[in-house]
Amino acid sequence: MNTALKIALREIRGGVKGFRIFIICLALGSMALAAISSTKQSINVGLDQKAVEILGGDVSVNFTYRFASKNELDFIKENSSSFTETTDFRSMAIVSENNLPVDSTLIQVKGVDSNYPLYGEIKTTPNIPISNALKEVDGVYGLIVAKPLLNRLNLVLGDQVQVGNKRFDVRALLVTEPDAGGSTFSFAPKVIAYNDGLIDSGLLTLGTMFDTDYKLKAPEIDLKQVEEKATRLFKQSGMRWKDSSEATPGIDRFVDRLTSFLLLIGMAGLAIGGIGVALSVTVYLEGKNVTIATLKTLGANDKLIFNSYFLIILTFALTGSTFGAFLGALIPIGFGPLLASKFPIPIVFDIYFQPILNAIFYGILTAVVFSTWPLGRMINNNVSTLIRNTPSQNIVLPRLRYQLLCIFILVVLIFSFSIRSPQPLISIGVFCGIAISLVLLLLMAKGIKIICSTLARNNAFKNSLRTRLALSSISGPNSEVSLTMLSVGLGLIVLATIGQIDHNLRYNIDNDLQEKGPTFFLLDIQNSQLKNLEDLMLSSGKVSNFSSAPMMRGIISKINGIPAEDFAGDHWAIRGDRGLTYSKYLPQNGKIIEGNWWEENYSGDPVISFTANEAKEIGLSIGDKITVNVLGRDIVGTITNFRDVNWASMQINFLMMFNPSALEAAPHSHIATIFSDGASEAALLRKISKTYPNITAIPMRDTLTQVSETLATIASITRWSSIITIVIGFVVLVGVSAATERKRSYEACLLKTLGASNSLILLSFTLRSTIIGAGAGIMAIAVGNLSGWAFVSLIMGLPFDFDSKTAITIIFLGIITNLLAGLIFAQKPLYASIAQTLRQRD
Amino acid sequence: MIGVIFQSFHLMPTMTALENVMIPLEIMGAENIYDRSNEALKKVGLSKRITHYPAELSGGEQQRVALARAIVTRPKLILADEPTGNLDKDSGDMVTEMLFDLKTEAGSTMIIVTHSTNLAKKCDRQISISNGEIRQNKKKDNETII
Repeated sequence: MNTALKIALREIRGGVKGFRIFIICLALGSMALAAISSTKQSINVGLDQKAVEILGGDVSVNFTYRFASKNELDFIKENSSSFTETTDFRSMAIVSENNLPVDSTLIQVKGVDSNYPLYGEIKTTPNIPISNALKEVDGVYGLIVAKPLLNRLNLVLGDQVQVGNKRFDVRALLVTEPDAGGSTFSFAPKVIAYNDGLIDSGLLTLGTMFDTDYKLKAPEIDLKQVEEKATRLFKQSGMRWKDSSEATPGIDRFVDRLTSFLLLIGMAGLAIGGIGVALSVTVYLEGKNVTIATLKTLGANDKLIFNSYFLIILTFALTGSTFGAFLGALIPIGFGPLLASKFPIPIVFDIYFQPILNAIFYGILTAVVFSTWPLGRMINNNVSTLIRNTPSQNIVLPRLRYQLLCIFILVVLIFSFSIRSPQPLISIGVFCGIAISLVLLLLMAKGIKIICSTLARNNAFKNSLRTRLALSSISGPNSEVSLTMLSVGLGLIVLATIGQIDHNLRYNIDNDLQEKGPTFFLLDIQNSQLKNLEDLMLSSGKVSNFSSAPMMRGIISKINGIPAEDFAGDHWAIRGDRGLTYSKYLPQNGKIIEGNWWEENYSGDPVISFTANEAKEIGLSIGDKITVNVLGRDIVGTITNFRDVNWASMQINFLMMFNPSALEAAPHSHIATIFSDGASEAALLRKISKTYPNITAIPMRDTLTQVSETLATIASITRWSSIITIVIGFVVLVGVSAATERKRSYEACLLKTLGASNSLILLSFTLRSTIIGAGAGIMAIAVGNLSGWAFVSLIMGLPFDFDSKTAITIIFLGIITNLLAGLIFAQKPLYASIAQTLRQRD
Repeated sequence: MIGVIFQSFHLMPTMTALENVMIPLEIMGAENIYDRSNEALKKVGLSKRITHYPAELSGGEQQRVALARAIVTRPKLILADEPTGNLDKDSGDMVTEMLFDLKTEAGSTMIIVTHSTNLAKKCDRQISISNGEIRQNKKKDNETII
């Protein structure tokens, strides 16, 4: 057997005291990673298994603002055993009394036909066949509605609501919808109706804003071949083909991003655990000074000693990581019912081995990174230093090969983690952020030591022994302030950053955006209605500003003749259809960055104004040609200028603007913004609903409130996940307290021989923990605010507001965590036998 | 008040020499703490080392700080446990000399536990203990009591 292995096995056999904190730290870090990855896997498997049901068919074929043409419909019929036609759009549900609208609200309408659903089943209360719920009875069609609609409009089943020009019976409540995960995400309550009824109500005419989906049942058809044919024949006409492998790109993206962010928090937790690992290894090796010295005197070289102890560390790293990873994999199963009730998507909870293996892998790498340094340092001491048991006072670096090994494994860890992340650069950025935070915490620890040292000598504290004792022990040699700052500080920084970002996003939504934003966005204003609507609104005396713009939707299909996805990759501008407009003039809120606006009466080939930021991201230049498919027709325009646009301004903004002659002949509607005081909101809504029932009014306050609530939910998920960093930090602190218990026992006994009472010593310990905890909290607030400001101001372009509530909570948390960990180990020093403790030092 | 001196000095490692000497006075709630502590350190020849931590002092210097700490309260009784046991001969002799001078100056009674017969001979009374039993009890002029 290998000598190193033999030594390692004998050492393990001889006892493993000191590895408890090591194992707990790694287990908690790996547990967090495994729990997050397993949850993600559970969602992905659920979405995969139910993909056909979520998509609503084996294939979905989509059109914007129109139904399929005869040729397209023939193709769909030829290539499916059956199909269903669904539409999707926003509208208003209006409640009237004596033919006068009294209340209305925004709804998300789904139009279906008698074949719906092809897969799965729709569940309603009362449980009636869908045809009974929706069919025409005495000239009135039925609706299935989501419960929030009844609450918002004070309706009961059997009441009537107006949608468009027609009245509908509310016949059933929607319980579950098989293809909900594949539908448009909306804050508005869902309403399901027959397309025939919606066509009668005037809401599905050419030029109004709706999406049409044809869901195909085609289980025995070679989908790849049919897709190629469909692309060849109809892509230019705006047909979009989607099979079940891409049923839920929106949910996939959201889950991917949220979980990768949570995994980064998990990695921060593992980094804190690494500090616990380094502490445990240092304490363990200090107990092995004489053994290592003896091995050296007996002829063992540094390599053999390193390998022996490295094997011991690997054994415990594997134990801790494996235990934590399996525990983490069980967490989603335990919390399954709660999770399933919060997210209405299929989730298949099970034990998945890939997340377990990943968590073990990262756990071991972290352990190796944080152990190599103290191990390398320890064996670099000479025999006499080791024999005298004073290596910790002897500052030596590990040999170069161990330094390089440490750096190499760190790079492997960061690289392997980042490459699997959907946004590798952000992951690398977060790792750099963790490293910078650790350096800042160390500097803060140094700063605290200097301040405490100065204060300890200040006359102001000359009559307070307990204060001076606390200050001296913080500023003195071998103080635990650095370790404490590192272990609890990083977790507090994560919490402070999340807290500041969450507060600022919601603060801007609740205050700034609601104050500056319009009262309503109006959609689907027909050409013939625009002038009268503007007059109606301005003559009411309640509207301070009315702005409108023509609006249609189109898909960027090519850039300079190359398929758009080949040119721009996965940029959001080419993903799906985008709003388009035309204008003679540069909008008031627009600013030309490059190029020139067209002449007022320009009527030549189509020209385009593109937003500057997006153009830069895609790599566009002035003179590039963009092909946009509008209602099945390709329009090729040349970019003549780039515009600066602030998307957060809540004004009407478009990615692309055309010269009027390029688009004005196409069927289209208009959108408008209305600014008024909050008190007039209901009256204006009634006026619009009464005169123009086809126009959809989106009240900004409701929407922003719902956005704010959604952000709060996401922030709550991230905040609770980041608690793991505090828990691991606490475990490390407990480790620090345990490691310094002997030192504090000695201090306490010495003070007692000099006449100090237990209460004085306890107060001094408490003060010491409070000062260090508060220091960690203050540092966390500084770094958290800085990163929060960078995100909110530099990335989001919003004003930053300091959240004092989060700040106070962070300082309080820092103090409490530190106090608890310190006081757990205060009893022994207070009641230790003086003679025994002092004799041990002799 | 009792002053104690240990074989291993037992100074607070996190405090400077001056702060170590100040502790018993602070616990007592005495006045002029700084001046008295400074004076005590001056008496043991360490007035230039007051801001040094124990780890920065030699063994002899550490024991002199411990000595200053023991006498700074002017105790009625000083207990010294092997006060020169961890020191080389020169340092031991210097500490012994200071110990007796300071004791005399403070008018204290001092009980020393030591293996050093030279140190024991300087005391007014020597009690020899072996295996937990008193073997001899004699005065400085060799008058045997037991």
